Amino acid sequence: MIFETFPNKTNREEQWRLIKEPRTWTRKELRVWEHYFNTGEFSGGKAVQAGWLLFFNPVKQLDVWQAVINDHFDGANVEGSELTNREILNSIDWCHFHPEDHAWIFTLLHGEVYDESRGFPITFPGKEVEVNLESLLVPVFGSLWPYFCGLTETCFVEHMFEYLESITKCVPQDAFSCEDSFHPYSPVGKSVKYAQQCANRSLKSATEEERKKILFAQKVNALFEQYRPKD
Amino acid sequence: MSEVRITIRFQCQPEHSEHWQAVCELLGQGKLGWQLQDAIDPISVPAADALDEVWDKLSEGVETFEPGGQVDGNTVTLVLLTGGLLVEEIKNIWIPWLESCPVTELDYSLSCE
Repeated sequence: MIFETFPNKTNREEQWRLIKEPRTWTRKELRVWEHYFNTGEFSGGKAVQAGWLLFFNPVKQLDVWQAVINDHFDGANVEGSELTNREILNSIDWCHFHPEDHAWIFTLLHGEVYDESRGFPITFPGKEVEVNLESLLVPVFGSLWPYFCGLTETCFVEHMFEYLESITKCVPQDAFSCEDSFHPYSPVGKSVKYAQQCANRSLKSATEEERKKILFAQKVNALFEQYRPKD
Repeated sequence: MSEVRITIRFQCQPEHSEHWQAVCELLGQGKLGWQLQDAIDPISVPAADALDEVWDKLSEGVETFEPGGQVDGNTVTLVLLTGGLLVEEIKNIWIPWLESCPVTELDYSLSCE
């Protein structure tokens, strides 16, 4: 693993505040989820929110997650579009993990390198979660370009560069130049564009944070240069 | 089926006026969960707690209506926009809940959008 054990760098109190703030849970629902977040005990019977059942749990282990899903996931009532690899990975995003914790969870689910034969490691009663390249492009490349253009302050992919290398090799050539915002390949095209722009910024007057970002952008840009079609 | 506007008007206790203002703001922001319940606590804790069950009774959930409201002195006016099929449900669930709050002279009217 990129880190041998779960880095556990997330401030859980702050994390819960950020998770709870935009939610329109009733107080009854809030109590159920907050208790689960703090203890790993789910008293709500059944739930359709796979991501919450997995990532709110204070324990980050596949066997623990599988047990929770077996006991509490309501597969009969979940909508089809709510249980996809992409939606599950999106739900890590709005759990507000520290980027190192986020990267660790991603690689726990999808490995340290991209493997097209690797399926989703949790089984859901009555539902199958298909893993394909497209379902990984948004979570992975969708974390890069907002970071490089200043929309976000952190990027979990910074902590799993080996995975980025391995998946970049498999990205279709036309994805590198995709500018259609509605196309599944657009996070790749945007990451190429903004990595290049960020990589070209001067290090001279950069703050410590900016320097770190520029150096990472240079590393990513060099990686993309190996695989993007030459003009 | 066209949309129906339910306009509800009531008198609140003077000391609750600012709390109903906070409630109206949250309704307008679509925050119908714990934030709304916390805002209703100073008006009536049992009414705030009862919202847990009130929302459960809505067959299509809380997204079935768009709420808003304003306060003018002690007069509170709430407006709910909903589909015609759900009007009776909203009326039969929301109005009794409002009547459980410390309010008087509650009245409502319906109009089609």
